[in-house]
Amino acid sequence: MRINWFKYAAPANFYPIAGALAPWFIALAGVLAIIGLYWGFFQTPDILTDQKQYYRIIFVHVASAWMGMWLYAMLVLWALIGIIFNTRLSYMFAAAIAPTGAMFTFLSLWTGAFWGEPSWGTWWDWDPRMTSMLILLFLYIGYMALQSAIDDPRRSDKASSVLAMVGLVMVPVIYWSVNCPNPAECAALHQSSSMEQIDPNIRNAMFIMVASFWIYSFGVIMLRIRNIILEREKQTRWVQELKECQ
Amino acid sequence: MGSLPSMGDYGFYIGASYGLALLFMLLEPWLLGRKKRSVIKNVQRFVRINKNRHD
Repeated sequence: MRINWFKYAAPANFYPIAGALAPWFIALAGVLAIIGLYWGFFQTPDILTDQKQYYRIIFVHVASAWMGMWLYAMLVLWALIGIIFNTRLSYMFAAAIAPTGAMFTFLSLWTGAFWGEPSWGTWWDWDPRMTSMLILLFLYIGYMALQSAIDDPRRSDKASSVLAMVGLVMVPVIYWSVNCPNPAECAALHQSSSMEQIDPNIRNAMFIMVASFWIYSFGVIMLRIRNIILEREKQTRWVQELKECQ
Repeated sequence: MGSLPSMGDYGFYIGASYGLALLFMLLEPWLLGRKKRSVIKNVQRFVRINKNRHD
């Protein structure tokens, strides 16, 4: 069976789908978060190598940092699709992703500070990983500011998409900031990824939290994209005839 | 300060991290719900103004 994907690129066709999916995504994310937190707090050792119980911030810190990066890559992907195919819904997706991505990036910086203080004795350091995450947060803010600074949605979509694409360079920089080929050349306070050495219970709880954050993101992006569709398509007959707009 | 055994003496750090995450993740869908109501009001106003213009 062939699916005509372009059919769902029409806001009128996507709007009801987003409305039907959003509550399921948010409920599933809540269930996964409860499982992940129970596993992470009650089925894991109290000490991780040299770190005491505060290492449990890992479950929210790593998940939010990954979401900050992945959502940015998703934002750029939708912006690129918008520029190539000139589909309005793609730009709307990019615009809907940005606030959630910024929220997760801020959360990763915040939780990093609360992990850094007991672990390294400092809330902040201009270490490559932290600095690159801060720049990513500024990119999200810049994208949203540019979008709201231009009144014409078509122009604001194009301008902000170009900015987002230029900013994509930050994603590999963030990754390589702690995973550089020669660790002696990385003056990093932030430890590199050590997924294979980690206790399986910690790793599993972390992956469940990552899944929960992903699904939560899908849910709120669906809710936000419905608002954007209503705002941008209010002059169309199908929006005006919607039951909720009567 | 009493805390869960799984937090040890680090309840403040862990609580501040998870607390903000919980706040954000509850606030975001709630704010989007509020925004939706305001967007719908805007659409209704837009329809009313256009209808009056045509009448």
